[in-house]
Amino acid sequence: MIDAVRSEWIKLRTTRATVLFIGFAVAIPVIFSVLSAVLTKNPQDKSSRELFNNMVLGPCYFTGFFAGIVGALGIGQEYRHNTIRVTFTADPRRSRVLAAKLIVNTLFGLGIGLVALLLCLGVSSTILNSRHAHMSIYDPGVNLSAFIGQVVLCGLFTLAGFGLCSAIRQPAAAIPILLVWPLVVESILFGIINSATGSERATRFLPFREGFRIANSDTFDGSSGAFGRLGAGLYFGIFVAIIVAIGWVLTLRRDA
Amino acid sequence: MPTDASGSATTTSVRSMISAVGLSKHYGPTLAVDQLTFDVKPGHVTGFLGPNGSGKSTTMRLLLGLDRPSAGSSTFGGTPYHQLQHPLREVGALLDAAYVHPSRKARHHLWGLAASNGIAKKRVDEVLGLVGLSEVANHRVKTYSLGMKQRLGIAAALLGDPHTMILDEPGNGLDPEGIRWIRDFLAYLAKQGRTVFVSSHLLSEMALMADQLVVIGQGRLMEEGSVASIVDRYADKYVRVRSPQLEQLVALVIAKGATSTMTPDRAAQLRGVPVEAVGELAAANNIVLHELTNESGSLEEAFLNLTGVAQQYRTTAVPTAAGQATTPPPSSSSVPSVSPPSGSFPPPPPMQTGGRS
Repeated sequence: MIDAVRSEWIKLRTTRATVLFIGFAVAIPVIFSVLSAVLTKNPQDKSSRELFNNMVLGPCYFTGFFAGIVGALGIGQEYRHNTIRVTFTADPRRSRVLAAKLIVNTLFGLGIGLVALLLCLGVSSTILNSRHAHMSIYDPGVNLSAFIGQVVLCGLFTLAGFGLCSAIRQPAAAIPILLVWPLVVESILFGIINSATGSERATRFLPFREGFRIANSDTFDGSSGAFGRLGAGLYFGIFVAIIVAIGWVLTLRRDA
Repeated sequence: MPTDASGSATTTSVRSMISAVGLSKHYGPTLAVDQLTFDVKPGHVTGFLGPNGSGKSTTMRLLLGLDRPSAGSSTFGGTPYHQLQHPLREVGALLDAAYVHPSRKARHHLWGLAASNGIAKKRVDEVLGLVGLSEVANHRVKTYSLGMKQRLGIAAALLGDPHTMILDEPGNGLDPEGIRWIRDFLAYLAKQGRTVFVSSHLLSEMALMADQLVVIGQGRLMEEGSVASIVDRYADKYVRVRSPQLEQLVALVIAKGATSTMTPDRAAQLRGVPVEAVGELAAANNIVLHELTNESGSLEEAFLNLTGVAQQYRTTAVPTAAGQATTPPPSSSSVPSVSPPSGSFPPPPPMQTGGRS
């Protein structure tokens, strides 16, 4: 298993497209964080929680999507270039290969989420300090669990991308689905369900919407009928696990 | 390695034999491989021949566990491929040179494969040197020509120093020097007692490369045996003779029970009589001979005769200058059927730095 993980690690870090997306996943949030820290008017008048939301959590939503793309590319590029045949020839125990890919890609997703958040936090804090405003992850009101939730979200997005691309074997199809589903499809469904039921309660079953809530700095008291942070995380996690399981089974059953 | 710890040749032979038993593969209603049973023995280069669409590549994928057989099984020394602990150390495979990520460097591609089977990185440099890619090892694969990719694929197959090699069209894209190198190299591997199973569309090349053949058509086994025996059985054999007293000689030979066909260049093709008998008959009757040649058919001719009924994709007739359609005649040139194994392993031709060769 260690050999398989080592092999996947080499593949991940030696593929240009993956490296490029990892760069985007970190650089783009940092750029938005810097712009936000520089352009925000009177930051000293804003609460630490609001600043944290605008300059750390908000920009790092991008990282989740990029982490999903990295996850999709982790196996999708193997299908696109038919290298999956070389991979399964070198190690015909497909479950071991998939497990190794899953471990490496998920750790990478978690890693880029953490790095992007820390960079955004560090850079925006420095800029805010120079503007006599203060923001810290330990400030009262700033939700540390949202920070952790964002890292977890990146990992789950990576898994979702991986599972989706394992199932449909086409990164060119999996990546748009990964972007359009949460951003467009669930938004439309949210509107329809909300209009139909007159309540947000039923919309809690939209998986990506719940997923994003684990990285939200708002408190969860369950009064709106929505899942709590842990419940939302579990619900999204189960949804992602189902996608991964489908991709896994199909990969084992199909011809390479 | 070709020998086990005790150096037992018998054990090695058993370990490295490829066996397919009743192998079948359906793709929907299409039967790609039909009850295929054959053995590939160590110590030989075994050619895998068949017309386009006959199921050669599918069979190779089935052997390697990439495709699931609809029926039957295959083993390497009695072990199914998916149960091999370190497959690259047991079986080296090249299915398609294009199965490489284009933006990855050749060295990194091999590092990834080596790591998956616990093979040291220094072996990567060794195999890159062996196939002549050392100087371009840090170039991205998308800058490689087809021939260079083919060499990279061969390098990948050699990574684990396996006792069995499965190569699908290894000569594709190689220049003449490269083709000669791969031919000598495969003969060298076979001479070491390894099992070499190689498919190729280039029949003249196969005639030089292989000493055993597995021939399939429409997914079924058509013939299995040595190249010499298959050529002997399926290719046309005759004695070609030219003489100023040709009619007299032909009459004498026909009287002995042979048959004769006249050719446009005033020669006769005599069938059913050995060349020695024709020579002796001519000498005994004071017949002057200008030519007396024993013509044995080529592997190409034997292959076409053997697989004629199993051709799935046929070419149309070639139009002649006169506007008539004719099929190309079988080659009459004799191709040596077996290449003597190379005594020494020739160094590979080095690749030029700076991209395509």
